[in-house]
This record gives sequence, structure tokens and C-alpha cells, in this order.
Amino acid sequence: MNKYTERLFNGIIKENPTFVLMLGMCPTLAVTTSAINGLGMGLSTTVVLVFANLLISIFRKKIPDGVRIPAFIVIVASLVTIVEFLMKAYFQALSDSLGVYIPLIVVNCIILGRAESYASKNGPVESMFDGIGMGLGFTLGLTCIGIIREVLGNGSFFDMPILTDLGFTPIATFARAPGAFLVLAFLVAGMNIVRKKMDEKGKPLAKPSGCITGDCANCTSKCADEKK
Amino acid sequence: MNKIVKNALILMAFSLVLGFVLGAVYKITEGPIAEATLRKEMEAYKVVFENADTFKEVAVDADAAAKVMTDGGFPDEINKAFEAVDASGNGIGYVVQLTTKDGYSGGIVMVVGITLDGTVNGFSVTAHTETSGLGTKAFDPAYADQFKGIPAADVSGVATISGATLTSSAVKNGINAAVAYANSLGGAQ
Amino acid sequence: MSELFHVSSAPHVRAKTSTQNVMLWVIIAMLPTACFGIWNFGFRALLLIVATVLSCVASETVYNLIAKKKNTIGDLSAVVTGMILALNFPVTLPIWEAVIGGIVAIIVVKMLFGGLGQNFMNPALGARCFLLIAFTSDMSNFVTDAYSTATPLAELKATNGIIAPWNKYQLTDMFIGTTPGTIGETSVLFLLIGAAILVAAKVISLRIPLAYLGSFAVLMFFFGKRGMTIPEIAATGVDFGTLFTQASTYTLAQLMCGGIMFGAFFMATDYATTPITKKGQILFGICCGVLTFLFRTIGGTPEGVSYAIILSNLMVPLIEKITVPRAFGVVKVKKEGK
Repeated sequence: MNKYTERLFNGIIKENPTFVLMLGMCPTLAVTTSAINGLGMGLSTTVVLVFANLLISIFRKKIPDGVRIPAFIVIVASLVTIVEFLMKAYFQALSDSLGVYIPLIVVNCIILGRAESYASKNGPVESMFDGIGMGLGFTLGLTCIGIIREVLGNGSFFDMPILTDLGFTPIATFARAPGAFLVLAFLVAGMNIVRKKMDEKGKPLAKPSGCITGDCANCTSKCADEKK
Repeated sequence: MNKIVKNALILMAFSLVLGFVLGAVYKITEGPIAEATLRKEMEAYKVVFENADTFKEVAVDADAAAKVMTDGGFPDEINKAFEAVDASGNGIGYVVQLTTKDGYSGGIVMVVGITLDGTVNGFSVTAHTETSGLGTKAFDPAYADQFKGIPAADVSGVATISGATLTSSAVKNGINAAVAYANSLGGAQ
Repeated sequence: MSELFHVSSAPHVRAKTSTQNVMLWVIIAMLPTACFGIWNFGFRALLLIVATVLSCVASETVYNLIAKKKNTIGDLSAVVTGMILALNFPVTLPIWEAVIGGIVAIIVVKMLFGGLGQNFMNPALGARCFLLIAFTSDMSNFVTDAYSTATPLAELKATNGIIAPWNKYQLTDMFIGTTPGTIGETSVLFLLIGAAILVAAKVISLRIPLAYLGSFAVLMFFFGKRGMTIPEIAATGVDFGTLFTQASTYTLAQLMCGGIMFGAFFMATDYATTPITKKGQILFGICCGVLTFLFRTIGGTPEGVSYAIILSNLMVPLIEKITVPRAFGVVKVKKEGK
């Protein structure tokens, strides 16, 4: 596997942001009310991630260490604003559903985390592939949760009604906040089973480094020196 | 000192360049965004007035509108009004967008279509914070369709929904308010 | 599994009751209400109760199987949860939704947090609130063949307590229970009989129910929509007599409709989710009363009891912290130089 496909495999499976690293939980919970929303959010974040990684990697030697974080944020914020304009112009429906969570992509831990830990230390092409990998992993996670919540909470699959025709009343809880936490809880429980098995096999998975560890005091430093 | 100045200058350079890029993108997308927003609004108005071809905005005189509301005892606020125009350019009615103040929770933004002869064409809700499953019953077709095509005088006769009394009566008041305002614009009856 | 001897040091307290005993008394106490509910609403009520109980018992069995633990359904707590949950349903609730309620109550609220005694909120109430959000309209549909009007509680809320529509329901109707409502909440008479059984069997103490109902009644009397607010008393030209009767009828009506009687005696007294100290229990009861008052007067939906009790359940750790008595032998350190 050459180093580019390795980056893809890493982001999608080995260090999947949603299921393994547990980063970016806020948009995950808020936006996954339907599969399309999850997919849309994931792809928007991927676009920002790829270009942010690319730009930061290209300029990595020019950005002084002292203003590292402000520089990253300026770059990421501009990219997100551009994405926001483009979405409002050409994908209005999606932009309305995602609402305020599009500007919130700026503070998505994944983007700043990857910028700090990978893009600022590696070449542009690898960084770009890292962005694609992580972004696709995130999209995968969001879409999975979105599908579950949409089927249970709305009886539809990607906006196609499947269960409602069978007389199933959608369980509204899953379309709202309590359901989001419940689905996430069960998925994390499932992930823990996988972790235990991998530990027994001697191949431990990466440690979760996001807000879900409850480790708020270490947030900025964790985001900053995520291993690798 | 030098290092700080150098850092600041580099940061400024980044910000300037990115600022220019943002400005350029904004200019490019300005037109499409306005078009898309307009299209979305027109679609909402089409829902309550299918026969119309286009909608021409009518300037809402805030004071006159408020007077119509207080005269009729309506707690609503008129936001926008459009004249519905058919394909041959004739005015066939009005579409009034208003915000109710007597719903269960917060304001309900409604769009009501009224034809020139005083018939309610229908209504649709564009924004609300009513209780899902209870208050939102007032927006379901089962209830909302009762208002399609009825003369304005019959609106108050439609029963409210037990368990969603506040929301459904807010809807009725909204429709009546829209009719009153449309009348004041000199169209109906 | 071998039976290990439980070894611990003195003091030991022996009591005749076991969990099963307590639960059996609770079931017996709920039987009058359940029977009346079935008589009032028809055969479907019995179907709902049976389905919910079966769902609870099955969920607990399945969970214990998967978690490789000994099956605990013998302690009858699942049956009790099932009955309480079913008695909180409108008789028109689809059976499959009731089954889901049972699964959520047992697996999510009770077993996942550690089983009997470890739950942080009343499982039946937790499930009821879950269902209230999940199937709002089905859970609020009280229109049946027998009754085609709104429940007394809904009437009170919709009319802001104006007495006129009570032509439909007299206070006596509400006391006996021939009104629409959830299966178990309508008959105050049979609920009180059940409560008396529980008190006589020393299963519950009257502390929490009295604190709950008392604080609620006082608040309703003075501050309810048709209560006697102090300015009204002070206003000239207002007949004190009529004000008093109005306020007391309103308070009595509020006490007798909705789930407050059921909640006060059967749900707010659950051992695992209430404070252990006497002061704590009274505080807990007052908490429930205040919250129910707030939810019923200012809140959106007519019913406030369910949310009030689970919110108070969540505050129990706090309540216990401030009411825990000084342990024997601990001396309060006197502040220096005072």
C-alpha cells in the first residue's frame, strides 16, 4: 500500500474520527437527523478539511510557530465561509437543513487537530490524502448514525419512505436530541466491544481524544499534540 | 520585538489575501444566493396560490397594517404582501405573510392566499415552534385543507383542535387577519 | 454459581420483608385501580396491562440472558414496573408502542444502570416520558368509544379553570373515576384504597405523598389560575366566601384529575429513587409538588406529574447530600476564635 492509500485507509478505518477518535461529536449529534443531512455535512467538512490541509501544508514553512493557531483558524474560517456561500447559492435546501452547523465546521476538532498534527509536518499531497481519508471516515460515521435515526425517527431511508407504508408510527424521540444521544451511546458501546477484542488480540485501537472522554482540561493540548 | 512584528505582519498578510479571496467569492455568489432565496419564497407562495404566475411585492405600510390589525382585534403582525398575478398579467388575489402572536409558543410565520372574491385559497406555515405532534396537528393537511377555498366569513366557523386549541385558534386568527389586510388593500369583496 | 456466604461485621439488622414481598403488596395495592380501569375503559385496558407486563418481564429475562446473569424476574419488580407503566397509558395506545415502552423501561432505565435499586429514575416514568416524546399524539389521545370529550385535566388547562365547562364532570365523578384519562389515574377512590393498603402493610410511609400533595395543594390554592391570590383578597368589593369556594373547588379538582394521586402514592415513593432520610423525603415531596404546580400552570401540556417526579429523582443525590445526618461519633469541629 503506498503512502497515499495508507492515509485513506487510516482515516476511514484505523483512526475513524467518529468511532475511534471520537472527535467532532457536536455536529454528529446535531445534524444526523436524516441520512442526507449526515452525508451533506460530512462531505462539506471533507471539502474544508482537504483544502485546509492542503493550504496549511503548502505554507507550513512560512507560518511562524508563534502565530500557528491563529493562522490555521484564519485559513479554516475563510474556507468555511467560502463553502457557506457556495452552499447557500447552489444547495439551498441542504444549507437550510444544516443551518448554523455549517459555520460551526470551523471549530470542528477534526480540522484543527489534523492541521496541527499532520498537515503542518508533512507534504501537501500526503496532507491532502489525509484530509480525504479523515473526511470520508467522518462522513461514513455521520451517514451511519443518520440512517439509523432517520429509519427509526422518520420511517424513511434517504427521504424515501420505507417503514411508514407498513403502518409504522415513527418514534419521534430519535429525530430529536434524546434519540441522538441514545444512538451514539449504543454505537459507542458497540465500539467498546470491538476495542476489547482488539486489545485481546494485541492490536489496540487509537485512544479516543475528543470531548467524549470528558477530559476538557486537556482539550487544546490534546487537539494540538494528537499522536502522529 | 522584531519577532512579534514579523509574526504579526505574516498573519496580516494571510488575512489580507484571504480577505480578498472571500470578497471575490462573495461577489460571485451574491447573485445566485439572492435568486435562490427568492425562488424559495416564491415556491412557498405558489403553495397557497397555485393559479398565480408571478407575485408582485406590495409595499406594506406598517402603520396602516397595524391599524387594520387593531381594528379587527387581531394579535398578528403583517410582514409582507404580494399581489398574485396570473399569466396574462391580471391581479387575481393576494398573498399575505404574517406572524401570529397568540400561538402556543412564540410566533408562527404563516403565508395566506386570498383570492379577489374573498375566498381563502389556503395557507402554509414557514416557521414555527409549536409542540410537535400536538400543536403541529393544526398544520397537517387533515386540518389545513378545511380552509382551502372557503369564503372568508366561514373561517371562524372551523372548529379548533382539542389538545391544540391555542395553535389552531392562532391559525384561524392569522387567516382572518390576512383577509382583513387583503381587503384593506382594496382587493376583495 | 456457588452461593457464597455473605460475611460482614455487626451491627446486623434482620427484617421479615424481602423484595418479592414488597413488590407483591404493591401489585395488590394497584389491583383495585387496575380493575376499575378495566371496568371503566373496557377489555382493551386488560390487554394493554398484560402486554406491558409481559414486555417488561421478557426484556429483563433477555437482558439477563445476554449479560449472563441470574434471572431476576422472581423479585417481581419487572411486573410492578409493567403495571405502573400500563396504568399510565391511555387505553387507545397501540400495543406495539406499549411493548417498546416496556423494553425501554427495563433495559435502558433499569438494567443498563445496574438493575434493581441502582436506577437513577423511576423506570416506569422514564419510559412514559420517552413514549411521550416518541409518540406524542398517541399518548395524548384520550378519545374512546366510552368518552368522546377531553379529560378533566385538559379541560382545566384549556379553560384556565373556569368553572362552567365542569357541567361535564362533577367533583364526585372525578372522585369515583368515571371520566376519561389514563387507565389508572381516573379513580381517586380506588387509588386511595390502594394507598391505604400500602400504608397498612408498612410498604410506604405517608411522608412523601403528604409533602407532595400538601405543597401542591397550598400552591394551587393561593397561586393557581383560579386560586386566591393575596391581592384579590385585599381588593375591596370581592366576596371572601365565593373566592374561598372557588379556590377550594379548583384545588380539589386539580388534586383529583391527572396523574397526581397515582404519582404521589405509587411513583414518588419508589425506594431506589427517593432519599433515605426523613428530612430528605419531605424535601423531595415538596420538590415534586412545586414542580408539578409549575408545569401544570405555566407549562405547555396539561400533565406535569411525570416530568416533575423524574426531575426530582435526578435531584435526589443533591437532596441526600444536604440532609444526610451526622454519622455517630463524628464531632463537629468548632470554628476557632469564635
